Amino acid sequence: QTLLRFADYSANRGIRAKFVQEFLSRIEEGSEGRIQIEQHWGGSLLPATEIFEGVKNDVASLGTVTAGYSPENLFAYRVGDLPVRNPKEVPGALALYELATTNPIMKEEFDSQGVVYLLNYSVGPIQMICAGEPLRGVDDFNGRKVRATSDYGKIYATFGAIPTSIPLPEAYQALDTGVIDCSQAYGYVVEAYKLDEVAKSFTEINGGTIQSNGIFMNKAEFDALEPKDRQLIVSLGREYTQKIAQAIHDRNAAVTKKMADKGIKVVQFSEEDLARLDEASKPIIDEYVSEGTARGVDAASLVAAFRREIATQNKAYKQ
Amino acid sequence: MTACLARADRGLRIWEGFLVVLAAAAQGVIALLVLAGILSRSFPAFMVPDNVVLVRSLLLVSLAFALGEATRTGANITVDLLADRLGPRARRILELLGALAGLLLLVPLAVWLATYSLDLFHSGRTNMGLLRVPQWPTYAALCLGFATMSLRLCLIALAAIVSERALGRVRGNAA
Amino acid sequence: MDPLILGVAGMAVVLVLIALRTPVAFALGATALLCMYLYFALPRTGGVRLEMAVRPAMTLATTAVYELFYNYSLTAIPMFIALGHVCYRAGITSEIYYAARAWLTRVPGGLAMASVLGCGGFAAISGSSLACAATMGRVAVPEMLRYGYSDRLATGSVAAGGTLGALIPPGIVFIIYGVFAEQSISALFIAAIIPGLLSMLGYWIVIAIWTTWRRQDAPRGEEAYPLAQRLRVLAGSWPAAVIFVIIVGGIYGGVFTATEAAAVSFVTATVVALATRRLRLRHLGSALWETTVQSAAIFLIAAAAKLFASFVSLTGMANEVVALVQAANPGTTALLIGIVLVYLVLGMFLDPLGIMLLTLPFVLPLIEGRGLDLIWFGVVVVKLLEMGLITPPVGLNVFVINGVTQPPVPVMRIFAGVLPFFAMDVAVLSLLLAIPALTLALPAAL
Ligand code: NA
Ligand code: NA
Repeated sequence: QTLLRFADYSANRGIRAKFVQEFLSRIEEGSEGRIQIEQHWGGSLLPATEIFEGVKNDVASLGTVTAGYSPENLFAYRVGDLPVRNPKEVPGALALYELATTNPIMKEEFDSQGVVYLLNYSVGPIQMICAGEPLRGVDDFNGRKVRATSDYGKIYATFGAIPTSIPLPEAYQALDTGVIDCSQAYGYVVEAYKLDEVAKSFTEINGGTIQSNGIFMNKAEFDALEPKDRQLIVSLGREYTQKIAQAIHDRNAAVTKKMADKGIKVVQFSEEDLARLDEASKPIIDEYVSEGTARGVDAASLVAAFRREIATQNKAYKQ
Repeated sequence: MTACLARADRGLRIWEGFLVVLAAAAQGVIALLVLAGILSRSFPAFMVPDNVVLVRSLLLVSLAFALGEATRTGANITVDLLADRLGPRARRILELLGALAGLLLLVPLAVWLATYSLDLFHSGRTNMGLLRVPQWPTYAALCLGFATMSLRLCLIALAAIVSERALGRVRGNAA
Repeated sequence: MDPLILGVAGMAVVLVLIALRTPVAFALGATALLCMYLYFALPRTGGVRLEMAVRPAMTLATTAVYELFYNYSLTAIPMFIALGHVCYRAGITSEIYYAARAWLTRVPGGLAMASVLGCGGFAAISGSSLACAATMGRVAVPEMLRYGYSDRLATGSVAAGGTLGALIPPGIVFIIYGVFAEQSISALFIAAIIPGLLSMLGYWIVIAIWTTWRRQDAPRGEEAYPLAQRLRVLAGSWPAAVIFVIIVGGIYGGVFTATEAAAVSFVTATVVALATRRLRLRHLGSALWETTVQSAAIFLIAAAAKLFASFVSLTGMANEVVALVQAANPGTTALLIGIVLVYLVLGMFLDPLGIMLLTLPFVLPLIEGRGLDLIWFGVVVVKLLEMGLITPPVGLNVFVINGVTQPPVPVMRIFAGVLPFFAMDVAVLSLLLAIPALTLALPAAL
């Protein structure tokens, strides 16, 4: 019998957690008792920033990894964080999943780090929640204090936004008191952090997303499992990548509707504004490609493959 | 033996003092960085890239560098349950026990941090953000803090074995 | 090895070491490190893996310590300690106490009551109990001692008063609970107002009874001050008022966050003190020196407590204990009593955040299953966590006060001083449990 330790940084509530728990218990059931999984939620075993190191070093056998916290170790996988248009949860998640399980650059990266990629999380496209008037287009960024991750902060800054780094747990009060005007958010994050309590408007940008997050497993532990168990885990990984993305999609849509119902103004960016965002995103993608060149990784082909895969999945899968 | 301890104590004191000066300065810089962060929301000129990363890095460095001095001045908090009723000899034994427990914690951590920061140096792991601040310096700083503290604890342990007076000397103003 | 046995043994070793005067940080940290190693070296599935256990144990341990030192929100703690030093050295807070002395000369324990009120006011600008205890400990305790208060009353009232820091909004603990339990954070904040004020009232009652019972612990003023003098003294405390107004205005006016407020208040106090020539530049240097040394000692304990929490998490103890409670299938009252006891026991050893992360995943479904209100339960949990800050052997508020007070008051005397306040906390907690309306009426009304 094998005892595995699973580490996650967030609470064991909400939809993502529900599906992950289901994924883990299906591994236990499917292995007919050969595998048992101990779950450590809420960062009680490892904090978000250290789960990748923890999985590598076998503190946790498997865990929820955010590539942004280990940008060097997971350079290739970080392609999923790039500001490329990827507005649909399910095709987007499957695109990155396909790439991570078939692309030779990625496979080599995971092998060299001693980890195995199991499944991908989807969060959905990055949206904006604001305490005041809605952001109707990129020009409305001008002069607004916006809480955003660094790449997107840079992009919005080209339109005059003032990027502000406030930890997510403080976003609620910061929006409430006016320390910031808007915060980057996905629908379900709005719900988890109750940002709708202190917001007046919500902008569906529906452009890029940050999705290089998923479950990784320690390679030595994975290889030590029986072949049929390994196969089981791999097939469940794909199944749940899709299930989680679908559920997140439904949730995001439901939260947006809930906000609209309670009087929060919900607006969308026009195609023209999205094109201007694409234009402003270029330097960041170029930077990624040249960083890859410096590391001897053909990042340009990786980005191209990712865009192709997004297109393929969007055609194959109507969300 | 006592003279030897005294010399080691003087040398370590200078080193600990030097580190605390840096630590105190770091606290001052933290205050200014936080202020700059607030001002930058109204006046972009005050924008310091990766302000949050710098602040937390400085906090870590400041705390790590003050650990040696904190140990010397007996700032490590103890609960005096029965110490009042004990003789000087028993007190020395307890002092030795405390120092050994500290070493049991700190030496492995310091060694591990040293190898880990070397790993980070070679792999070039960085923090999220615009500047991509490398991660190894904070780990190395923590290692340095724990190592300094371990040296002080070694002195305390040795002095506790030698004599009451020697202990008083290396314990600084706790004597 | 059975992790549950390892966990209980670890707690026992910590108790023994602390009783043997081992520094608290070393007792917690060394035990946790050793137990973590044993956990990985002797897995419950059998076998011995001495060498393979080093890497996971050391990674886990260094991570726990590093994460605590490398923490943005915790910068507030050294900043508030520095604020306390500057205010004390510049005499800014002496003037408040002089004023309190003049106005409250006939009130038994008036200065201790003023200190608790000060903690309550401070709680409105700070989300952390430790920051509250650190600042008020630095400024209030020496003043009370100067006016002849007993060290137990002086430190006990501020250690207990410090727990208002998280209970009276804003409070970071509520935010974390709200995210965990998916409850409205503003509703939690509002729900905590009456329990917070009730706790403060409770502390005043303790002080009144204590100082009536033992007059010598809080000497009263000889003569009444004439009104003109009282007004003049009050006017002399303007710098503190200015700092307070700037901070409250800044937080609620959206200029800065509660975390940033700490640095702002330190800088403001320094500027005011330098401008009014109450402080010299060289004193600022020594204030920062003391701040870092004291912060290092406090953070070391907090890091060791976090290390210990990581170990307890590894053992899965919290889960098993809750499962035991559940298996007994108790009535709702018995269930609540069981949960209260679990929190009080964990509160003896662990920090509030660690306890929440360990317990909430298992406790929330139980509470929800009984149809109990999660806002109400959140306030109860935070009150329990705050009580853990003043219980031995690991009472972080008590250690903070011991760490920042010069000359230091022995930890055991502070624990002794805290005892009556803790008894009052139990009474207040019982009220909150018995009458949910105390918590839920205000959010319902607004
Ligand atoms: Na508060
Ligand atoms: Na306690």
